[in-house]
Amino acid sequence: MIKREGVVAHRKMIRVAAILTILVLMTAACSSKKDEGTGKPKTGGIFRVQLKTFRWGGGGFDPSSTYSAYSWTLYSNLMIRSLLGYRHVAGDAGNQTIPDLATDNGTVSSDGLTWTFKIKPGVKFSPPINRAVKASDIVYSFERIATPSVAAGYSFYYLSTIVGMQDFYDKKATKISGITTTGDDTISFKLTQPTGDFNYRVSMPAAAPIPPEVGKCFEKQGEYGRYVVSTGPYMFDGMAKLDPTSCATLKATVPSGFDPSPTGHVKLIRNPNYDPATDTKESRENFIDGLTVEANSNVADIFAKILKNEVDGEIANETPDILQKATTTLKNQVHTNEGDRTWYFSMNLTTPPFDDIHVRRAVNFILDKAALLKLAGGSLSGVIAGHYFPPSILAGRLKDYDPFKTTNDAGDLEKAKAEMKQSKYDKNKDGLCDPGLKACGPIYSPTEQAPPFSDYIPTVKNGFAKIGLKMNIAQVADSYVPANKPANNIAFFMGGGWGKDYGDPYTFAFPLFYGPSILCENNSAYSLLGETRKQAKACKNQYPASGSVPNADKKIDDCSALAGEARLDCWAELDKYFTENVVTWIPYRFATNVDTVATTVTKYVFDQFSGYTAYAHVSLDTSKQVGA
Amino acid sequence: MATTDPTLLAPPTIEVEGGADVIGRSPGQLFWMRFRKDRAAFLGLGFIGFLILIAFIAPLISKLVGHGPNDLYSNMTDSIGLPKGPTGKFFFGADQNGRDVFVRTVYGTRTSLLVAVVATSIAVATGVTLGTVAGFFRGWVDTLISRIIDIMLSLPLLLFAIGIASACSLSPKGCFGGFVKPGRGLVIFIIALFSWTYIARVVRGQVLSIRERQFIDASRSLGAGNGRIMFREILPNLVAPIIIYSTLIIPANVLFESYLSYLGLGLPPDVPSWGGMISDATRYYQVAWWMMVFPGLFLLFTTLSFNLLGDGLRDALDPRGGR
Amino acid sequence: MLRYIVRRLMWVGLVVIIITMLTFLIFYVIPPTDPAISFAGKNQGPEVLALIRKRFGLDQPVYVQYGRFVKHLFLGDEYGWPGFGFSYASQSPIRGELFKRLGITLQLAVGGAIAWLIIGIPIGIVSALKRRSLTDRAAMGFALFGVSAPVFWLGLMALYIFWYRLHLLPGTGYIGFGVSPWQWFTHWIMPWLVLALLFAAFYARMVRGNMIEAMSEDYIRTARAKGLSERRVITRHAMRSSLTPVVTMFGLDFGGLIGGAIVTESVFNLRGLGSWVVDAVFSGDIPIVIAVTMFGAITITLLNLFVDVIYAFLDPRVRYS
Repeated sequence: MIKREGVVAHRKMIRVAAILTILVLMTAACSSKKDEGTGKPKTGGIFRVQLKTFRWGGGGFDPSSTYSAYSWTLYSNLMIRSLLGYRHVAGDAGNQTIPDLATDNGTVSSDGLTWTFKIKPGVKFSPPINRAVKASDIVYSFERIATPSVAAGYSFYYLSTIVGMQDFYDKKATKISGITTTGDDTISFKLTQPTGDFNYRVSMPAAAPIPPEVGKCFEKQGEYGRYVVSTGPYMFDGMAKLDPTSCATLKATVPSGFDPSPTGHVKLIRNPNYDPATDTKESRENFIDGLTVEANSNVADIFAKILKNEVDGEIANETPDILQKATTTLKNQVHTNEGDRTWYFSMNLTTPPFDDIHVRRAVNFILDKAALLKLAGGSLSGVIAGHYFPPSILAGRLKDYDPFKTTNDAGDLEKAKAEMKQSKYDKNKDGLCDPGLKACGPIYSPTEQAPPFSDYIPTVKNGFAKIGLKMNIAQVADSYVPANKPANNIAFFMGGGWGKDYGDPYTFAFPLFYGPSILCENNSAYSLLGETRKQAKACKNQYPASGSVPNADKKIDDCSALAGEARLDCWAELDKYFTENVVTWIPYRFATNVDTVATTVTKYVFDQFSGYTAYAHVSLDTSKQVGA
Repeated sequence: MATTDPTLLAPPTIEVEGGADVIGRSPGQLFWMRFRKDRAAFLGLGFIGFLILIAFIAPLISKLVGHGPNDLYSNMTDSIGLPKGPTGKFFFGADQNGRDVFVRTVYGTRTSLLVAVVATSIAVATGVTLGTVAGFFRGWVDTLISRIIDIMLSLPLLLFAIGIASACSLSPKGCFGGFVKPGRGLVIFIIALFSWTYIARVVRGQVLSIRERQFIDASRSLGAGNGRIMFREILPNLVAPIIIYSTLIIPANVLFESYLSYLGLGLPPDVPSWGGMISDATRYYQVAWWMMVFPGLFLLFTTLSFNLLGDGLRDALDPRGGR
Repeated sequence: MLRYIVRRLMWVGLVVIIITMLTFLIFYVIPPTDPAISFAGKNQGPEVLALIRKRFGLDQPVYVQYGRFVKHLFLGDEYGWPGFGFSYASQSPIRGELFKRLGITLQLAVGGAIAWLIIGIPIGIVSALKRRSLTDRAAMGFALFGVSAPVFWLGLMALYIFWYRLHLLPGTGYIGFGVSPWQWFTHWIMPWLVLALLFAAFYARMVRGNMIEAMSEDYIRTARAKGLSERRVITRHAMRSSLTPVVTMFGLDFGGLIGGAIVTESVFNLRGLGSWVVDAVFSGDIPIVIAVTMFGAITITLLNLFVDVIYAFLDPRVRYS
C-alpha cells in the first residue's frame, strides 16, 4: 500500500518536478532574451572605446612619466600591478589601497620610517619576458623615477621621501640606499620622515615593477610607452612577437597593439601569463576578452555610435542632445559619479588687489557660482564647491561646509561689499574698490578660449564689476602658459582645476599650497602661497614691499606625517583654514564624471581611483554589439 | 577663399558719349542716371542704410527691449545649461549664457560694420598709395612692391592670421611693441594687412596705363612735380575703380572677420560679433537652432547688400559690361 | 620659352625661401605657446624643461634652428624625405601624418573643384547667352547668394537641415573608400557642395561677365559676318577668350585649397591639412604648422608657375614682360 502510495506520490513528484523544471527553463529563457543587466555577467567580447584624439603628452604611455588619468585607468585596471592596488569601484572604497602584488598591506616600523612588503609568488611578466616578478624589478622602477632623462611625471612624491633617492637623481650614488631587498620577494623602503600616505605612493603606476632588460633600452622620456610589459590580466596585442635578446632586437619591431599618434589606436588582449589565483575578484574580474581604443574626430558621431551599439564606451564630452536625455531615456546608459576634482579661480597673493584678504573674501561672496555650474552643464557637471579638497578624498568630512554660502549660490552683494569696506583698496568705505586705484583695474586675466571657460567670462566680469573690480579678461589659446610663470604677475587666473593623483589631500596640498613647490616656470601653485622673498627674487615676480606672503608649510608637514583617521581630520582642518583664513581661491565646482556606455554593457562599474570606467569589472553582451 | 581677380574685369573708363550738337553730360550725371535704374542695387543700399541705422541706435533698441547685450538671464537656460528658444520677450531666443540673441545680433552690426569699414579704409589707403607709387615710378620701386604683393598673395592667409592673432593675444601689451593690442585693433590690423594687396595691384595696373596718356605729359611740361601729378592728375581718374573695389572688398572683409571670430580669435568675448555667435552655436545648434540662424541671416544679408551695391556701382560706372 | 621658365623657377625658389623665413619668424619668435612646457607636463622642474628644450633644439638661437630646419627639409631627416621633423604633441613623425591628411584635403579639393566647375561655368555661359531672361536673373540671384554666404554658416545650416532634421545625409566625418564606397560618397556630398557653392558663384559671375563682353567685341561680329553658325561663334571664339581668365583663377583657387580649406574642414570634422594646422597653432605644435604652411606655399607657387607657363605658351606677349 505504502509502496503504491509511494508510487503515486513518486509520480506526483515527478509531475511537479517536471512542471517546476519547465517553469525554471522558461524563466531562464525569458530572462536571457530580455537581459536587462540582471543575472550573471558574461565573459567575453571586446570592449570598444572611442575618443576624439589621443593626447599622450610628453610622457607618452610610459608608466614612469605619464601623468594622465586615462593612462592610469588602462594601467591599473588592465595592464599593471603594483605592490598595492585598488578595488576599481566607486566611492571611498575605490580610493583606498588594497594588496595587489604584495601579500598584505605591508608592515610599517614603529617609528613610521620603514615600510616592508612581500611579493606574492607566481606573478609573471607578460610575453616576451615570461619570467617571475622580482623585488629587484621594483627597485629598477624607482631608479627610473630617479633618472632625469626619463622625466618622471611625479617624482616629487618620492625623491625627497625615500632615503638616498635624490642622491641617485643627482648621480652622486649608483644605487638608492633607502630601498633594500631580501631575496627575490621582499622589499623595504626607508623614508626620510614619517609619511602617512606612503601606501598610496607605492600604488601608483610609476612604482610598479618594470623588467630592466626592456626598461633600460628606453630611458628617454616617453619611449618605453610602446613596449610596456604587463603584469596585469591584459597586454598590448603583438607583445609575443617581440624579441628581448637585446635592445636592438627589441627596437626592431613595435607591438601592433599601440600606436601613439593622435589618430592611432590601443588594442589590448589577454595576458597568457596572468594567474587569477594571484589576484582577487574584489580588484579585478576580467570579464572582457580585450579592449580597443580608437580616435574619431567627430564627437557627435561617437555618441551616435554608442546609441547604435557600434561602440561600447567613450572618452569625450557629452553633447547637448545626450545631456538632454541623460536623466530620462538614457538614464541607464549615462552614469554620473564624483570626480575627485575641484574647479577654482586662483588669486595671486603677491599682486594687488588680491594681496588683501578682504578683497579675496569679497570676491568669494560676489561670484554667482550657480551660473557657472549651469554653464558647465548643471547638475550633470558637478556640485557647488564650498571648500578646496573634494569631499570624496576627505571620506565624508566637511559635507556641508561652505563659509561663503549665499542664497541660491547666486552671490551676495551686501556681504561682498561688507568685506570690501574692510580692505585697504576701499578708502571711502562704500563697498566698492576705489576707481582711481590701479589695483582696482583693469586687472588682466588670460583665460582659455575653449568652453566652458569662455562662457564664464560674462559672469565673472559682471559680478566683479559690482564691487568695483574692472576685469580685463583676454581669451588666449593656452592660458596656462602665461599663468605658469610667476614673473608674469597674473593676478587672477580662471583656468584652475585640480584632480587628485591618489585618494589623499596631500596631492592637493603639496603641489598647490607648499612654498618649496613653487617653480619659476611651469608652476602650478598659481596663488604663490608660502613664497619667500628670496624665491620672488629668483622668479622675478612682484612681492609685497613689507611683510610676507602667508605660509602654510608647517601645517602641511604636520598633516603629512600622520596616518589613518587622524590624518584625514588634520587635512579637514587645513582645508577649513585655507578656505576661511587664507582664501587663495574661489572654488566653484566639485566635478562630476559623466560616463556614457552602450546598452551592450550589462555590468557597469566606475573606477574611483582613475575616474573612468572600471574595465576590470565591466561585462558585455556580445550578441548586442553591432559591427564587433 | 579668393576674391575675383580685379585685373580681369574691364577697367571702367568714363567717356562722354555724344556728338557736337548734343548737350554733354558730366560723368557724375551719367553715373547717377544709370544707377537710379538699378533696383537691386538700391535694395542693397537700402539695407545697408538700415544696418547703419540700427548700428547707431543699438543702445536704444537694447533699452526698448529691456535687455543689455551682455546681461545674463539665468531663467533663459534650463537646469543643465541648455538655452531656450524665441519667446515674446526674447525675439531670437537666448544663448548658452542666457544672453538675448536679438540684442546681440543688433550689436553685432556695429562690430561687423566698424571692423569691415575701418579695415577696408586702411587697406584701400595703403593699397592706393603703394599701387600708385609702384605704377608711377616703375623701376626697382615697382619691382619691389610687386614682389611683395606676389609673396603676400602666396601666403596661406588664414593661417598667418591665426598665428598672429594668437601670438598677440598672449599678453596684455600685445605685440610689435604695443602697437597692436588684442581686441578690435588686432582684428582690423590683420584684415587690413591681408587685403591691401588686391587694390594695390588694380591701382598699379591703372596707373601704368594712365601715366602714358598725353595729359600727363602736358602737365609735366607745365612744370608739375611728381607729387602734383600723382595727386592732381592721376588719382582723380582712379576714383571709380577705387570705389568699386572698395565696395567689393567690404563684404569680403565682413566675411573674413566672421571667419576669424568663428575660429575664436581676436575679439574679446563681450563684443558681440556674428561670427563669434555662430561659433558658439556650433556646440548647441542641434538643440538651439536660433543661435545659428539669426546671426547667419544678418551676415548673409549684409554681404549680399554690399555685393548688390558693388555690382550696381560697377554697372553704372561702366556701361560696356552691360546687365 | 625656356628662359622664361627658368626665370620663373628661380622666382619660385626665392618665394619659398622667404615664406619659410616668415613662417619660422612668426611661429618661433612670437610663439603662441611654449612647447617645452606643454610637452613636459605638470610640475616638471627646470631640469626636465632644459632636457626637453635641448631635445627639440629650442635652446639654440633662431638662425641655428632655421638652418637645421632647412637642412632637414632638403636632405631628409631620420624619418625620410622630405624631413619635416616630428610633432611635439604626439612624438610621431610629421611626414606620415602629412600625407595621410593631404589625401583628405585633396579629396575635398578635387571633388569640390569638379563640382564648382560643373556648376559654375555652364551657369555663367547660359546666363550670358540668355541675358536678362528669367533664367539669367535666377542664376545670378543664386550666384549672389553663393558669393555672400559665409561657408561655416552654410555648412552648419546644411548639417542641421539635411542631417539632423531630415536624416537625408550622414553627419560630419570621413569614411574611407575602402570601408564603404557609398558611405564615403554620402559623407562627401555636403562638404563638396558647400565648398563648391562659393566658387561656383564667383566663376558663374565671372564667366558671364567675360562672355557678355566678349560677345560685344568686334571679332565676334566679324565671325558672324563670315557666316559661322551661332554655335561655332560661341564655342570657338567667345568661350575661348572668356575661359582663359578662368584658368588663371582656377590655378590660384585650387592651390589655395591645398593649403587647407580650414573652415570647411573644421565644420565637417574632416582630418585634412587645414584642421590639422589650426589645432597645431592652438596647441603650440610648431613643426606641424611650419611643415603644412611650407607645403601649401610651395604648392600654390608651383601651381601659379604652371598656369603662367601655359599662359605664356598661349600668349607670347607675356613672355617678354
